[in-house]
Amino acid sequence: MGRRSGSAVHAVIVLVGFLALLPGPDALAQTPKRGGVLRIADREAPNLDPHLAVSFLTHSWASMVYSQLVRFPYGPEQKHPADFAIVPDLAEKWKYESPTSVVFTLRKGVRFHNKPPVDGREVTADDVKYSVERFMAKSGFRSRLEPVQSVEVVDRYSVRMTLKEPYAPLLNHLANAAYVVILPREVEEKLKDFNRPEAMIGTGPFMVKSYQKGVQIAFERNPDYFMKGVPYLDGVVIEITPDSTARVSLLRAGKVDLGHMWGYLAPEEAKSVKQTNPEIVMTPVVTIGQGMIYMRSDQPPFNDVRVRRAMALAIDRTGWNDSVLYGEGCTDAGPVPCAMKEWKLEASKIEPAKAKYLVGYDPVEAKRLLAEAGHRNGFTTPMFHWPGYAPPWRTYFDLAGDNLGKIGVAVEFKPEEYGKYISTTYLGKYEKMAMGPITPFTEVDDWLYSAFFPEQPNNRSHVADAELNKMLLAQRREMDPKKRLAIVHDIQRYLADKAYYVYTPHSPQYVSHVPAVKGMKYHDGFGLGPRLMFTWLDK
Amino acid sequence: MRPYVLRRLALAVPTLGLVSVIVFSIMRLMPGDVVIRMVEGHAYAPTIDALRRELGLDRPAWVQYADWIGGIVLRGDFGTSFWTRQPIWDEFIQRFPVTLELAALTILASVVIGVLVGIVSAIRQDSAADYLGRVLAILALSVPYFGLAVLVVVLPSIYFKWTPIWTYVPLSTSPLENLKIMLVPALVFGVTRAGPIMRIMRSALLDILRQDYIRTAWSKGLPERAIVLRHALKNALIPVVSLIGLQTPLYIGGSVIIEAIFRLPGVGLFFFEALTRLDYPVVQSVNLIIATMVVGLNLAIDLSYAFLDPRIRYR
Amino acid sequence: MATVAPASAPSIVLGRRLPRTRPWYLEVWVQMLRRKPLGTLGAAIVGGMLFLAVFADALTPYGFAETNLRERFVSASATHWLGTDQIGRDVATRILYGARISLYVGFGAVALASVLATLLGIFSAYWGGRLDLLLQRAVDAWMAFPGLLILMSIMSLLGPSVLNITLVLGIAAGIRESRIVRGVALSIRENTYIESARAMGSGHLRVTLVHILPNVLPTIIVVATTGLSTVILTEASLSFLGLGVPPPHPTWGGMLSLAGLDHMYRAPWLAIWPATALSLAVFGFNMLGDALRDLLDPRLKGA
Repeated sequence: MGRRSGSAVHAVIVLVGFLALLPGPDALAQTPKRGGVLRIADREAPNLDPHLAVSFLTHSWASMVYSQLVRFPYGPEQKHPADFAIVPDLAEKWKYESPTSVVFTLRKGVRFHNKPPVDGREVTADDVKYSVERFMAKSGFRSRLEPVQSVEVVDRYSVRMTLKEPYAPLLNHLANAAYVVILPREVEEKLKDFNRPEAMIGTGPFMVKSYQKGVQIAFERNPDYFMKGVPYLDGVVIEITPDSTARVSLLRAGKVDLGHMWGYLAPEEAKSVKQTNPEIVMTPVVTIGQGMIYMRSDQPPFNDVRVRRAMALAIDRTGWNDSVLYGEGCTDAGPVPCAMKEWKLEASKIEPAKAKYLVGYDPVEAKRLLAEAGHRNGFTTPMFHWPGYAPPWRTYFDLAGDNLGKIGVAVEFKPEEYGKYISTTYLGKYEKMAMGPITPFTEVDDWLYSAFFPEQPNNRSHVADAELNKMLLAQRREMDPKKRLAIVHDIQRYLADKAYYVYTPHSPQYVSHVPAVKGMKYHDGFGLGPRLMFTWLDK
Repeated sequence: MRPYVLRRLALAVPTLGLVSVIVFSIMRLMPGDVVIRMVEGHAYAPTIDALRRELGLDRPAWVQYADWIGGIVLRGDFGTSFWTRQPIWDEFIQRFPVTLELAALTILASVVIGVLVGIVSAIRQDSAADYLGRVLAILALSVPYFGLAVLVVVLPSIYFKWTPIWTYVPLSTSPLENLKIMLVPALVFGVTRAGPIMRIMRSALLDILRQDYIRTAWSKGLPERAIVLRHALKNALIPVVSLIGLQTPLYIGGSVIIEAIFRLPGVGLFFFEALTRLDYPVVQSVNLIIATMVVGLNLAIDLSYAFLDPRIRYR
Repeated sequence: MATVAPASAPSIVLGRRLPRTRPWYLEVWVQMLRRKPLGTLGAAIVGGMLFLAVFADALTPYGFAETNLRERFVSASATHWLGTDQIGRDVATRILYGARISLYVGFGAVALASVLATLLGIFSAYWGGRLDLLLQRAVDAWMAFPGLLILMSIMSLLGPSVLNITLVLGIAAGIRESRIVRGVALSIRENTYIESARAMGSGHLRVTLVHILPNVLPTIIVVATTGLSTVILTEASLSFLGLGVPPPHPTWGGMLSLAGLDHMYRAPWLAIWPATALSLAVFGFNMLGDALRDLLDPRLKGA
């Protein structure tokens, strides 16, 4: 036996081994089947105008029928649920002429839905200009495009956006389904009002088939959608079900395919459903999101960093995670959320002396810090909150009261009615201390600048840190992704021991659906339409 | 009687006026700013100001009130929702039949159960049947109706992979389907309402049956009993009727949770969601419409007193 | 020769003399059990609950907000007789402390409601005429509001607290119940003996107190006892909507609506115990009320 036969045997072994390792025919991606209507149970959108509404429900419905300039990757396009790469939507390419000027080139031949008064005409640069300007004039989110100075039509298929200064978050905001969707001007001119179902005319993968207020909204496939081959589904029906227990019951009874637009089930519900309905497919996902205790860091006693650090050390994050979240949550939840892998600097990579304020638990040290700050006997503080948040929040409030009580901080709960909470406390108008989850964002600038820069709506702890402000502005203007990442990491390192917020462990969601649903991948963007266009039913 | 009726009708107007002022003030006093609530604080001051102007909230309170009431009285226009910008009357008229049907079926269920059990309990006072009846009534009273609703929805889904929730179909489209959908929620709601009816029925009936001339007639035997019962019932129904009357707002308010759990597109849910969203026009107008109905209903009930008890004739 | 028994407590209550065969304190119970077994049971339940509520601290080693993350969802054990909840708090302890608040809110609101309903109902019915008309229109206006609106607005304005909830529930119930009281008072007013009493020169107050009130009392008692369950359940609905008594204070309604429904499948005892406590309280109070009503009914005396 010479080397040749040896290498032949070698080759055979490698080949056999390779073949054995290949996935079997079942595991290979199945060919999507066309047809079927997907049934989802969820709440009703409060209104339908995508620019005027701030509710994620409205934006999810809107994402079924409207498109944007750019979007995030979904389905087979995405690498992971928090993949915020920028993918072409109506704009097939874009180019920065300078740091403050970008030109978008639109696809040709994209048509609006064939419904009056738009009647399936082609999308042009004028529609983009109209939509962006309307968004900037009317939307509650217009601050997202604040640095945009002007939008001009270059030619029939090109649009130029000019900025006041370099603005790194621009493309991410344009890709977010909650903001700038492209609308046809005729609807405003002829129908006056985007809040009616017959006004929902866009270029998206689905069209509105019927809407019975309070009962259901039915979508059907857009046969002229500009991406070929999708959507696979004939239609999607959202059965309006305001009560969460009822939604889960509908899922258990097989009357719907998903018990929530994005398939969410909280860990507790998921465990219970797994026992009664083992066939239901569940995927735990650490979603983008954050919850925290926020404090008036501009007033005593929380203006003293030692007091804030004591608060941070008093919360037994691991204990909460192990007991309430079955150990499946993320304890290192802030200031950049766990799921934003591309931007997050994990606590393990920060020096332990600082990182302990992010993930540590040391009630003894907490008491010592309080004494050092002049509160040897602790103090009493109100805690404002809305008691209606879904589990595990009810338990979190009780646990926080208990944990803080153990270091001598007596918590007086001040539950508020939602309308009051969301227009006062949630916007930073509260005394001393409050607690609760916050709206998730897709752009890291929102987690940093919006949460820590003075006067910003998400700056609930009233942070005013000059050193920090410089870094926040710098990351916003830095167009080079690598340099920007370095600044973002520096910010996280800086914030670690300031304890402006005390973050609570983030609960995973179990994305659940009946086994017949295939191709549905969870994504942290709000796009319901894009993820459903890749979904199909195996029936 | 007639002058009384006319006087009552005339007084209904200031009553409703009072209602309108109260609800208008309550909404303005509720903490939280509707404009900020609508944009959840994301907007700049200029956008907030523009929105405030658009919704007419920058005008003085009395002007807003006059505009609202004026619209109703002069044009029959109940205003548009701050959130959806759609006319309130249209949405109300679409949703009201659902709540009305739910209320009617619930009252029917609770009256049938409550009156029957109450009669049996009273006639056979202190017997085993009486004790059973009273215990059942207490049990029905002490179960929160939303708890029962959740149980009825969740338990079958766990054990039988079935749940009594369907997509709503209006009565006009398919009566059979509609009744199937309404049956379970009406029963759940009705059972919990039957308790007080049963107890009041029993108590009132006992009072009447205790009177000497009644007892004599009763002891005479079956044919007399039937006559006595009919007479006694007529009087015993007075407090029952007034109980139903004063519980009517409960059916509208309490129906919220039932409508949410059983997916019924009724007024209760419409009202509740508007309240949470500080949608002033919806809360004000819907409240006023319902108040008008309740006032009318109470008038009818007071008139029925006069019918049921001849001694009550108003001077 | 028969011994004539001296006047004693049992004989006063029952309205007749008794041969003395047992000590008086036992005799009361025996007679009550014999004549009104359900009422006695009701009294025992209510008395028991009051006792437990008052002495809660002494009866349990745990605090009601004491969490223990290592002993969550225990169903029943030697150390936790009724189990623990989702963060390890002892259920029995929370039921005991819950008794305090639920009974405080319940009794408080019902007492307030009864007084208000009686005053308003009798006053309106007795005076009649224009005053009655106007008062009843004001009551109409009040009752035209869905309870939810009133409760939510007032809770938002004042903030949820035990006192506020008691006041609001009491006043709301009182105004509603005054309608029933007024209805009954109207019927009584038409009775001829009222006319004759007035003709004989009895003052209004005397007529009201001596003739109208005792006849309205049975209805008030029944309405009040029914009202207790409504008040406790309304508190449960408020907790369900997030407007109930603020944490960490437990109330039966809150325990049922929140932890009970959330963990119904995994830990049914979290719902069962507060529901049982609630039902027992309502049952006891109602049975006691029924018995009291029967005893106090003037038409029964001497019957």
